[in-house]
Amino acid sequence: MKKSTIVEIISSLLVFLFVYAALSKLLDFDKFKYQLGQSPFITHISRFVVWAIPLGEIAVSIALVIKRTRTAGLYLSFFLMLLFTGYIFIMLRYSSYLPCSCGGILSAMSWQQHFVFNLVFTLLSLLGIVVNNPTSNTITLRIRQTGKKPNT
Amino acid sequence: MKRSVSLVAIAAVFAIGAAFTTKRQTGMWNVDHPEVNSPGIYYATFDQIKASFCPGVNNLECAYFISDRNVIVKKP
Repeated sequence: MKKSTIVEIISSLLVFLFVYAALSKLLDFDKFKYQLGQSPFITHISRFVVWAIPLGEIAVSIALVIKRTRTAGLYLSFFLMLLFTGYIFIMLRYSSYLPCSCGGILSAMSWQQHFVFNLVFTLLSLLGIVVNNPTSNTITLRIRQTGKKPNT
Repeated sequence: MKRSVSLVAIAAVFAIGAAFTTKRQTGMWNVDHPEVNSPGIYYATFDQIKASFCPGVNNLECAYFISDRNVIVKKP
């Protein structure tokens, strides 16, 4: 399979996840706002986070859709997914009260399922970064320009 | 290049559709579920609670969505 195809598929999966998650939150905004306010770790910054999360997810999705900004989108996706996965890990380990600020069918998953789901998408975005590595693109470009494999 | 943009864009369109569809499904859970409308107090431990919804003022009545077993709990 071509590298660009793999990156396309990973980007599509990430875009689907982020757009779905962001819209689910915005469509049920009052519920999302309430649940975020209940979270023991981010109560004080919930006013900011309640807008930052869905808008951030939409911004990352836009970055992934546009090919020119896809690399940045993959890095941002990895950062976001790492943040979400880390948050669930901390919540499961250190908090007795676990309100979920997730939207749509994601809220129907158990905490363990949700953790594994996030972990899979974190690894997917990491794979996207690795496959989309600009160093390998440079080598390919050199091969095309010189017609032979560069000495590395 | 055109094809790659459209594949990711199609994923975004599907996601929009899925979000609106599941919104309709999950938006009704606290109204239609028989557990919520039946009288009584239902108990669950805090680590089982994943999502909660408290309509009205002062959080007098809350519906809780429970992990694993998908049970909704009403608390007076």
